[in-house]
Amino acid sequence: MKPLLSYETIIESLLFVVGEEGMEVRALADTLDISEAAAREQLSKLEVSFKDSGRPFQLIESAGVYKLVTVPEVSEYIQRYVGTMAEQALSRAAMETLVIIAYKQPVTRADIEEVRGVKVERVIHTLLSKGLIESAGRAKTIGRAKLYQTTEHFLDHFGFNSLDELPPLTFEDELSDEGDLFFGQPSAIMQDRLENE
Amino acid sequence: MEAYNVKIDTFEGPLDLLLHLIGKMELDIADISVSEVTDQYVAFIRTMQKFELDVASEYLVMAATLLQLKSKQLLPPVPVEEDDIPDFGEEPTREGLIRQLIEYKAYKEAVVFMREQEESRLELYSRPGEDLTRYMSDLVQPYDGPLNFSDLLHAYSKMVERKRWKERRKKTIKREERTLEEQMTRLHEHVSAEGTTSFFSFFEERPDVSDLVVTFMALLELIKLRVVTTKQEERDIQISFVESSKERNEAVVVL
Repeated sequence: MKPLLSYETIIESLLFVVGEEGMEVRALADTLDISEAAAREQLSKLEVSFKDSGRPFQLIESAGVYKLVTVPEVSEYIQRYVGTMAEQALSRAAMETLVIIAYKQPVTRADIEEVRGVKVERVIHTLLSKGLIESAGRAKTIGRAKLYQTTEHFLDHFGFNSLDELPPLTFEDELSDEGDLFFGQPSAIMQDRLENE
Repeated sequence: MEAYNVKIDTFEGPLDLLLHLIGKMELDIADISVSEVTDQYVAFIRTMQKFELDVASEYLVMAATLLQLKSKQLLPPVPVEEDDIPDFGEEPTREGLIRQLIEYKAYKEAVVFMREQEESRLELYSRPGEDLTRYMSDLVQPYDGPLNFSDLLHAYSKMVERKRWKERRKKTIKREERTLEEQMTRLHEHVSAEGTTSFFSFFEERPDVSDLVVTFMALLELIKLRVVTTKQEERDIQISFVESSKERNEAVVVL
């Protein structure tokens, strides 16, 4: 039986109610009793109608769930009302550590310290308490050090859907490969790497 | 040399500082001259030490590493048989340092991207999800289907966990500690009533370390105030009340 309300409207009401927790496509589809593909189609219709109506909401897909958020254009006024930035950006130390964990996960504290060249114990504590990282068991190496990985909240904090959206790291020696072709001298690192292989 | 107007706490560590210096010298990481970089780095650290009380040890470790690399380059290579070289594994090399710098720089660049990503996500506001529990039926259906061993095990481990949490909470309540003044008054009252007592018989129950320490300090204070005299008695201390101190009782109690 086709409901009198449009799917779009129902989805909007559901997303309003669930707020920042968002809803998975599958849950939406189950609730509406339609296929996931149909639910996605309705979601994109809703997205377009938000845009066309000029209302201050938009749909985002973040950490695997759809949620209703305000558009960036109004953020200035919201911030003005709230006073300061409501959700604080991460400190530099926290950010560096988090990025290393994101790319190298699961990773031990010692691994992170090797890259950063400084102790990261306190930063790890901060990241854990912010729910951006979690422990991921222990390494199978000697000492069985604790391993860390990023959480769903990490994805949402940056508006990612999955870790695949992290851009690849660019290493300077890879960039300078081309230069080596011209100058005919493989860089010390390349040589070193070849020897290691 | 250019005046340093950069503070060390603007850097995220020795590697960050090194990258900054290399950038200022307009060098490629892969082509750095260890001796030049070392001079710059050490000069920077020295200047910092002049102004700031302490430079974090990590920066000093890096300075030492650089100096080791530099001196190794300056000294003529000592001919040694391959087999004679002990494998320390951790011996710093120029290549190792360069690799570390390149890796660190790659993450630093990723941080820039992530920061932008974070900023634009922070501009999107949402609201906490509605609490829907009041709409849920308040009848929790007791489960009366078949239970297997793992269900029981799960329930049991949950219970144990709950119990442990409760116990833990109990442990966080700290015993009221005795202050020196309290213990002085108590000891003073005790001795003035009894005439003599011994250090260990003063305790009604087995004292813990902090009790012992506070009581001993209280005793020392009372000796200083000439309220009591003491005598060593094997492993205990005989404490005697000094009669003439009675007139000064009040002064002591106020203490």
